[in-house]
Amino acid sequence: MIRPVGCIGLFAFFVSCGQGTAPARTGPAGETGARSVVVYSSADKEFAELIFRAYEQKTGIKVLPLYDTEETKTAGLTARLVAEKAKPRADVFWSSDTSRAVALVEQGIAAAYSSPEAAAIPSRYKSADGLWTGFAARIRVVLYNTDLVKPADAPRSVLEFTEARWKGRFALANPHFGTTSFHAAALFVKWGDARATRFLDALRNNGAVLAAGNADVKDRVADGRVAAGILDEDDAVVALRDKKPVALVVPDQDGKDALGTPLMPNAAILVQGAPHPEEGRRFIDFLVSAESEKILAASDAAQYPLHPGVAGPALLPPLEGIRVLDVDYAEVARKLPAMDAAVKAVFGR
Amino acid sequence: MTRQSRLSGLAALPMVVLLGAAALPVVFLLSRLAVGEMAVDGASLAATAAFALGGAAVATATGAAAGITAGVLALPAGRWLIGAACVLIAAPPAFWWLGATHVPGIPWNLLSGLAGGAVVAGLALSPVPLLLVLAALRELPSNLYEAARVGLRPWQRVCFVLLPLLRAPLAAGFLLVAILLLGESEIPFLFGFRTAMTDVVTLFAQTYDVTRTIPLVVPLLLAVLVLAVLAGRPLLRTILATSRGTHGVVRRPTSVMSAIPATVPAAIAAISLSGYAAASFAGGLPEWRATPAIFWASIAEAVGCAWIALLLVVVAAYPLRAAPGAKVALWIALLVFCVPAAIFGIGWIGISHALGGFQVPPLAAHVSRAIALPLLGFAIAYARLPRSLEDAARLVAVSPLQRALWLVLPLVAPSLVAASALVAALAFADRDVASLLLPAGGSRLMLDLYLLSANAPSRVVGAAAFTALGGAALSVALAAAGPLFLWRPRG
Repeated sequence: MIRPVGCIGLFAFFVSCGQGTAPARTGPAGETGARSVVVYSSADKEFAELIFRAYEQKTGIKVLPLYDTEETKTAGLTARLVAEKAKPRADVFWSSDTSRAVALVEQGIAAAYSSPEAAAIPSRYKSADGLWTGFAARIRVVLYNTDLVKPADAPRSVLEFTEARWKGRFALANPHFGTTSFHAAALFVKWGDARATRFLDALRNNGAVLAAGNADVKDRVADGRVAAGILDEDDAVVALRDKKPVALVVPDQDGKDALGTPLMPNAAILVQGAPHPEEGRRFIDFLVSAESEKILAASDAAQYPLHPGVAGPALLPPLEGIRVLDVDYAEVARKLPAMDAAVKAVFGR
Repeated sequence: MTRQSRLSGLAALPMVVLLGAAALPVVFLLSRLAVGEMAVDGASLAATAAFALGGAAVATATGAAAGITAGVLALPAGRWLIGAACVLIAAPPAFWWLGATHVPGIPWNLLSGLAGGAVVAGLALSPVPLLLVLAALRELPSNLYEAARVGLRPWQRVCFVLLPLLRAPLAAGFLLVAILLLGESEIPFLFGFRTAMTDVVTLFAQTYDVTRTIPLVVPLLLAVLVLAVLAGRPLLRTILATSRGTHGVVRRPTSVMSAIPATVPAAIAAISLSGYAAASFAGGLPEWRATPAIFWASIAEAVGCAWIALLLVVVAAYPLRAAPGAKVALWIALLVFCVPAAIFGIGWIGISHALGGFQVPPLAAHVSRAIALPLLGFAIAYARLPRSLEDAARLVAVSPLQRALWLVLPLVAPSLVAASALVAALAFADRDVASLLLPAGGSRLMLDLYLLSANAPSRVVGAAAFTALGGAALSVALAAAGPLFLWRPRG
């Protein structure tokens, strides 16, 4: 029977390995054996890991991340946090979409924590009572394929995508998710529900291609499946650095009454009832620090630091020169349900 | 109740418990519909049906052409071609599509929308009908086809002899692929169209609420179960067939041109892998990101899943092996297996919520869904054992357990090896269950690949794809080694 016993031992090893890395067990007093912090992150894994690795090296505290997929960006994790409200599993939520984070605050998911590391971040990018803290912002841009579109013909405004010359030739991510939902909800705030819904309807009638996510928009533009797309600047930078035949335009900058483009800080939230609150606070200190913003600006994430004096991403125009779509983040968050309903009515999903 | 019927009941108990546990998520989801007052939402069923049936048609045409070519012609390196085609099963269609898109100079933009998605998914799943056709060709009476060679041209032999004889595997292959595509969400997301499965994934992501997802889940679940019932009979007829002839179709030498259909699935795998290879070296050397912990956890989960499923099935199926209930059990297991992995994951989350929020390990979800495969493997192999062999073994003075370990299980081992390998491949290739059920800090190679493919540099994505494939190969080898090691036939 040696062989079966050996096999059972090996089998038990595999079964125990198969569970993956479980969060560190927390004792009654909230103490852990190996210290760890559970971070739900809607930031792209590729970029979030830069921060997690730097934090682990600096503090020795293990980061246990949970990501959402490109197709269900941010909304997937926010729904999960709400579902886990009675028995939270996460310590920190790193949201790549400000509006979803602010919406969570209004549902009582966030605990107050004003990080000293965020003192220099302008007050409009964080909550006064410490329920969310913005850092490292992104803007929405238009990416176009230079083999298909001459620079002179490139769209200068998202409104141009309702014109006949772009019919069926442009893509955007599903507006239910991620930063596209922020962009759509910001337009609802700026224009009102009726005009914003008409705009979405015009996009649909003009053959808008709904992609799986911003990265998918980038891929479609880069390989010529569509001529142009609306996406985040970090996705656009990946295509530029990969030397794809693309160029980017910061939209809605021309003219005195230009709409401006949305500026979307990441947001850090300490989860109410977090299993490891102390580790959560320490992680937020690092996440919103100038050091973290510097890493995100210098990498392919190409995000704009909100700390004064930290250099911005090299491939993008300086933030000071960009006209930003001026909206209140709390208002955008409150508009999400109305925008979601309009998107479902217009796009049927 | 007689002693005999009590014993039969006792023998069936492990199987009843096993199938009951396996079907729990499905029963839970259907029971939610029964307790609630919800209008069933079938808005995207038309597009879903078009995708599933269109993809199944592409897969069946491609797989049948490849299978018939490889089955009736003696191709140079024919076994290698079939082996290479089977690599496609080791990863989901989206994996192969993402690889192919990295091949420079091919106008992939011509493949778009629902039609493009159906073609891509159908080609990636063509090994399913291919293998069924090959299996059926091996069981055809050789004299029948040899007689047809005398008087009929090749195309006449295919149309008037082979296709009628291959109706069961073709129907089973078509329906199985349709079932797989009903549960596919990645390709529709990538090709920008909507199906019932993308609706389920989207709504569940927005709400994380099983009850609200039920109106979308149930029509899909019912469609899958209906197709599974339709597929069951031709599938079982194909794979449980006992040889009516002596050697199956005798393969004859052929020209290179005639062999082309057999190369299509293998060529698809090669194109995609060459895309990943090109990506790996784009702008520098490949950049390996997978940590050893994720690599080994992915392999351990797949292998553990295969071995647990196998052990549970052997324990539950062996006492029932000659009973009429065995076929019923096989049917139930097949129905459970046909339920899409994401729906299984959602079902387990629902059960977890109902029981206070305990964490269901992904391994449990994989095992519960996959028990049909070892059960099928056991049934196929046992059906081919002469009954007289076991009757004769009863005359030897050994215990029933020794008889099982020394005689029956070694004889069915090859089939169990194949089933174990297939379970490991499917568990390894999964992304849906992993993304739904993994705890924070946990990851798997295939899930990592999808997350990285969003924004990581090409050389990282390429390296991650090859790491995942290497992990899949190792998982399959280890999963196969388990039953081989335990029950290898003794001389």
